[in-house]
Amino acid sequence: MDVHPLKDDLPVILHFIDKAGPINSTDGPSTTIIKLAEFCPNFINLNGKTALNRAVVWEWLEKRLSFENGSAKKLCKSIEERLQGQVYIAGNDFTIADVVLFHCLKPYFCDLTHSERQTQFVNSCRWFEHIQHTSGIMEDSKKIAFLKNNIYV
Amino acid sequence: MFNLEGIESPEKLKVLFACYDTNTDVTLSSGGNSLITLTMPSGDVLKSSNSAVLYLYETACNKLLDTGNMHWLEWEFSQLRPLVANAYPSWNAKLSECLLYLETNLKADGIIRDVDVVSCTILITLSPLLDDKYILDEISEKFPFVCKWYLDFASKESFKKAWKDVTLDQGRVAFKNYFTDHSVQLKATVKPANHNSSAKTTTCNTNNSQSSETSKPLVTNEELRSSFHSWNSISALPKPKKKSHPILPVKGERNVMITSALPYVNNVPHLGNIIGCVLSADIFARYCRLRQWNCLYLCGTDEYGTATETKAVQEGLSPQEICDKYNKIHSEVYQWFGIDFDYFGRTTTTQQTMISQDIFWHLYRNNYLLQRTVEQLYCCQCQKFLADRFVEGTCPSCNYPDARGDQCDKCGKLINAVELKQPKCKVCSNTPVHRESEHLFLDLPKLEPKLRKCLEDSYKGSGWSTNAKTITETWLRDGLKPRCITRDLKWGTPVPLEGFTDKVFYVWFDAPIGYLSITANYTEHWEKWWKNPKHVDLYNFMAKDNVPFHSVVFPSCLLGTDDTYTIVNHLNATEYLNYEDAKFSKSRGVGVFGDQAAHTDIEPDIWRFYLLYMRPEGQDTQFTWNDFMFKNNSELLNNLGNFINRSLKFVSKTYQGIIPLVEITDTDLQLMALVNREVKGYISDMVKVKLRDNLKRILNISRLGNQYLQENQPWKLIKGSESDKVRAATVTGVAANLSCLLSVLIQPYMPHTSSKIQQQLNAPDSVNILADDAAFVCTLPGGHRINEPSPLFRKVEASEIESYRQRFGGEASKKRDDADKEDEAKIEADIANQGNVVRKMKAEKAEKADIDKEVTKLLELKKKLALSRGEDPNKKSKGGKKKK
Repeated sequence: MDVHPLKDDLPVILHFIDKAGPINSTDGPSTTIIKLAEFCPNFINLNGKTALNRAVVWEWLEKRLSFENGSAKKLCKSIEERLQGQVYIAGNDFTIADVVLFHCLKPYFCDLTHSERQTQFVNSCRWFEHIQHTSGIMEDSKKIAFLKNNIYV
Repeated sequence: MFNLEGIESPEKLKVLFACYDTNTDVTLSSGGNSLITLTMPSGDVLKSSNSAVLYLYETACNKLLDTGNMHWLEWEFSQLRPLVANAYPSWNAKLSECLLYLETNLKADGIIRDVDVVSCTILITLSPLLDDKYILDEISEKFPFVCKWYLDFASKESFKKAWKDVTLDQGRVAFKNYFTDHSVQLKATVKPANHNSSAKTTTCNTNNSQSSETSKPLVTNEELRSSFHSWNSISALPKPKKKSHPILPVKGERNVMITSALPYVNNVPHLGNIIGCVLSADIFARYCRLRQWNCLYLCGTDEYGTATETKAVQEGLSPQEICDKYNKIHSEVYQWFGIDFDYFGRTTTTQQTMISQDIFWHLYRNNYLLQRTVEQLYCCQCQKFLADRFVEGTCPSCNYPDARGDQCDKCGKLINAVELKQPKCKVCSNTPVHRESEHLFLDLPKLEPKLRKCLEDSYKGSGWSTNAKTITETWLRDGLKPRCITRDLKWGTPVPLEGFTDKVFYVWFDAPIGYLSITANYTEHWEKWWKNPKHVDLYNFMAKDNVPFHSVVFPSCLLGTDDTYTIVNHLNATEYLNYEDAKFSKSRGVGVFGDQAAHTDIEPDIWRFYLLYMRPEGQDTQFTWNDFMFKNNSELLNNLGNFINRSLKFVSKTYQGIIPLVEITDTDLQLMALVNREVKGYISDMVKVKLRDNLKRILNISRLGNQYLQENQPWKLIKGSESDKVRAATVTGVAANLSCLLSVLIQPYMPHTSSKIQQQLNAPDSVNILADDAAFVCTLPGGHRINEPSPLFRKVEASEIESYRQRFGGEASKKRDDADKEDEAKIEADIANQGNVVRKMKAEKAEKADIDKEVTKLLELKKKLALSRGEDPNKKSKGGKKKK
């Protein structure tokens, strides 16, 4: 049995979107998410507010699709680069891309040492910390504790 | 200003195309560390091609992509793209499985065809494969919808431009690095999805070897072996037969009769008419002769009908004189273009009357004719029943305002003139009245079962073009109705039946019979061709508007006789050729007409080449002067001409005009195998009458030849060691022989150029032969002496092209407004009336002075017409419209 790239975090994301609508069985995971996010009652413009935002969201959903277990570090690095100078993946607004990538990289962030968090992944940790406290994201699982003091820099 | 960076890749092509398509200003740079990077004026960047395309279209159209269509972006990214990367440079079974999903969807509703983002992303991902015509050919049967979609898309100007800018004219080979260097990354994205189980089996490490191959197509050992075998098979070539008239079918041999739609006599044919029938048929006929088949190519002018009568009145001549005059013009035009008819006849002959009446009597006795009273349009002003072509009005089915009385140019439906809304007499613009007249009808509904059975057989012929079949099927589907075969006219074949003797046959009944009568004028044994369906293959060439008469009406007539006539086996129809975005128009002086081509400095072969290159197969095409210049300079001069001239000059300078001895190596066999592939394709495409593709094959062969010379560089080898010198000799000998092969393949297309090449090569006539298993053969062995080579083509300069564009652009007439056109119609009507007056007076032998007075009036009117058309009235001799 092949493993769906989003098999593990799709339920969580769907839970977040909080919409039990019918899912078109021919759609791939990214399309499903985009379609559902359109109707998410708790957030507006989850797929991006502007044309540019929407394009960026799609770019990161594609990245998520090609993500493999071995490539987590690479993905983290590109997120780190991306988050220099902006709050979220697609600029200064929270989007579905944040949700998807958060769930995808959660295990990896858990395994990072405090040193790595404070030296190589400063921006992504700031982002991660912020997302995990966003309502609806991680209601029922344990949050990661980040050090408040910058002891490694 | 946007900036697009990245290596040559389909992804870069997508984004560039989207920029062009949305009129976004963009600069290009190569390299960069990502696959593609689109930097916006704001400094924001996008690094995914699909996102960039999404963004460009959304901002340009100010409209969000429907989320339902996002599915296709995901499908392209996660399924299609990796599979293409795996398969490149060839096609594979997995792709076929994957494409089935797309094909099914297109067939079901095809909505995605119209979504720019989806078309762009899917089709450009496929383009590195579909740009190869072998692949396209191979899959076109299985995936007709996908292929059609791709071809439509690929013909867009913005695509062509983007393709050119990204591939830098190298073609799909330009993507080689993308597919090899990024193969791991690309293939890694293959992920199973719930909707396409077939893709699940694709993993990241399959077939790595294939995409890392060099850009040259692979040649199998089998191909190398057979190429070597054919190279040495000169003795196996059959000897060409001498042509002697009359050509008659021979039992046990292949007998091919080719007809081109009979051009209507009262007009000078334009380039579109020429490529539509006579030229296309000529290419095929010349090919058949190369194949040593018994081939009879017939054509002639169609001379009966009202149009001729009216023209005669206009020019103050009798209908017969008009026919004589224009038949001569037609013959001259075709002769100039090098159309090699076995016989060019006409329909105003006694044989025509005999055969038409004979067929008529058979139909009459077999009860396939009906008698009916018809309401017809009668013009009180002109005092005659108006022929369908002489009524204009609004089409009853599509409301096109300029529909003719017999057929609507817009929807192609055949119309009964009385059904036209707001009918107008074309000559005097008055509204005609309805009047009754007795007529004979061909009972098509009764003949339909016979026709259907016959077509079932006929469709097996490989030469049917798709449009011909579609048009025929549409006709049958809409239901056949009885069709009138008689007309209230004078100028035609008389109806022999008592009570109808004052009428003539309607041209559509008797014009196709012209094929038979023209043959009868050619040989008394015409029935050996026409009553011999088992041993004769009949090919009809025409433009698409003529299809129903050749596939439905005429076969029905022949079937109704219960005699065994030869009925069409292959019906090949072209679409229309337009002239620089407009239609050809004699009255507005737009476009090049047959007699004018001879007054340019361009040789007939070059015209033939370009017309064939643009042959409207599958869709309408355009004649443009810029493209004409470009194709001449790039394809003829720099490709074909360059190769042959280079090869021959080397023989003449280095080897004193004597072809050296060759020692074939694998490198040479590689070339031969690739050439033989094209030759094989040439032969098989001719079966399907794909004339345009085959011209491109010839150009491909000379491209291979140029590459071969460039890679082997005999001019350097000749200065090297002993073994280098042997190589130089071999390469020279192979290139000279390849020139000879090209001269044979190009013969149907450019007969004059072909004989020029063969003259320079001093090639014997026996090379002009093609067999089923035609291949690259050594026809000019070592020791053969060639003649002095000289350049085959000349460069066409932009200034020359500009002068032609002006001359044939009808600029003067374009400025005229519609009011002028109405004036013109009025003057034309006046001329017709005045012509009548003069002829009547002449017939009544009136006083010469009186006649002269009326004639002066007539000439004044003609001068006025010429002026209103922006022509020089003094240029024209009396009654002569030869050169306008």
